Amino acid sequence: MNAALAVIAAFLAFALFIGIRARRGRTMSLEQWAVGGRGFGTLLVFLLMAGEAFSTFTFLGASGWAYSKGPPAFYILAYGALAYLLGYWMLPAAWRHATKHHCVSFSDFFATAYRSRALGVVVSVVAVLGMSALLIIQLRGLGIIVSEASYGTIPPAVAIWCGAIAMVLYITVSGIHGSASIAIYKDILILVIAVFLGIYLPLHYFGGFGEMFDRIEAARPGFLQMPTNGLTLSWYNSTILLTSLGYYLYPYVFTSVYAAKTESAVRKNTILMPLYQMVIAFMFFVGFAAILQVPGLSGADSDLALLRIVKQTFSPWFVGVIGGVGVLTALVPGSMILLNASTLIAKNIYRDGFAPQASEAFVGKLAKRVLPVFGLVAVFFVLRGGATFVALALFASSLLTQLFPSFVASLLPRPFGNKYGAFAGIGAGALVLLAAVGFDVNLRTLLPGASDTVASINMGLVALAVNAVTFVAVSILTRSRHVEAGILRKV
Amino acid sequence: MKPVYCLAALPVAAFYSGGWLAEHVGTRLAGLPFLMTWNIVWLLLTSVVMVVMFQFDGSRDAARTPSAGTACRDHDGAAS
Repeated sequence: MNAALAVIAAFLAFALFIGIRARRGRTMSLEQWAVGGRGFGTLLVFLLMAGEAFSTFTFLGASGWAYSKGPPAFYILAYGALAYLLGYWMLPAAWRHATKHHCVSFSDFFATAYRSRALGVVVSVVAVLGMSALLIIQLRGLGIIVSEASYGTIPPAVAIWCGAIAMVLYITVSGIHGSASIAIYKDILILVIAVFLGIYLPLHYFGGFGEMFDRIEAARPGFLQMPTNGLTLSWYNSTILLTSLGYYLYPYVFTSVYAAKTESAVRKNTILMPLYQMVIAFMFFVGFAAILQVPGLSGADSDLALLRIVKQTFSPWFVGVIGGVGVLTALVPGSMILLNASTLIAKNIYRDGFAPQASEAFVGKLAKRVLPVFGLVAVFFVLRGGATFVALALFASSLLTQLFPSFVASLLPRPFGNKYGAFAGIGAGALVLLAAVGFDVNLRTLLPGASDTVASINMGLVALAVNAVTFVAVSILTRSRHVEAGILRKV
Repeated sequence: MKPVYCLAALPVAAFYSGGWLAEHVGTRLAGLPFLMTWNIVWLLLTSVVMVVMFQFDGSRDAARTPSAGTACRDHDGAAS
């Protein structure tokens, strides 16, 4: 057994211990289990939201993107900041609504805002599928991190099983408190590790940041400029818009808002988040440092840039520390996904869809039974591949952004729209996405004569525009029909 | 809308002009790729903008006096 392996195992055991201990002194009602009894202050909400927003993607993806794609990766810094700015108004309004209507799940919000259980069920199904994709990504990331950091001693499959079992155990016992208490350690650790690696690696290998970029520029001329095809400037700008609008529509990020004690805890959280986003800038430095130090990683392998350069630079025990932190970056969001998906399945799909008479206590119990099953299904799809399901789940996760028009309309000081508009808008957006994903339709094929600027606009944004127009049009039409009916009756 | 909220237009304008500026002004800024430095600086300024809004839009006072907070909540904007 090497040093790295021992350190990673210690991290996992520590997370499990902290996660289970988080239950102490609490009776777990559904509200306590799912949203912490709405008693979390600014710091804990911050840690929880940061914990979910900065997952294995920050760890592997951000450095991998800088390594393989260069400047287009900077969209990540931009969309985060704009999403938090939007959150400054959006989240307190969402918190007020959720608290008033005792929402515990993501789709509770839509069901109560539009007074439609059917909308709640539809949103739940999309959300559960979308979260499956995200859980699969987290587990896959966990497998990569552990197998790389353990120098191949632990195969990814074993790591995925261990990680999934740990998550299921502490979430079943402690609910959201388990995730929150691990998030505290994880956030501090990832901050320290990212800042350290982001500064140390460029200095160690190149003697400075400017020197590093000079040498990248010399070795790969033009790499530090925005590409003129593919991920162009208009892709960059349209993707910033799409991802910043969709940022909070990931159910497990959104429901952390519910856990807040006060409205200003939510608002302060949006103020702090851009600062924490700096972690990503340091991860970019790691990715850039890896370009010349561990060249030749392409495709999905570019996600290994961080781990490869770390292994080349440091002794095994430190590689183990980084692997351990990597495990935590998968555990926190992974466990929040499990928690939210099982709450959605039990409360919003089972009870709202099939058994309205089921008691709160029964729903709580059911959620805890569904949780391990959902975890098992995710592990199954990670290990067995199952390309069709994964494609479906990924489709659902991009569909989540399509909830934006109906979500934001319900938060306006004078709420606009109705459930018909919401259904029609989401449906129209889904159709455009389906055409884009299923039949490879994009602006280049739709408008053959269009310039690169138009052709590389993100299709998700096109779907969102179609969705918004449909939502507004159908809401206005269905409303005016009611008015006409009233006038006719009077005559 | 409160006048202080106009400040929110700054980060939006900045992030959307960043890519264009990088192509036209120069590819490097402070030794780093232009767009990276630009986005990092504006990331920090986004927080500053929100702090200023929080100070002057009244939500800070609402947070201090719980009764005011409750009063606000009664007039909530969410559809209900």
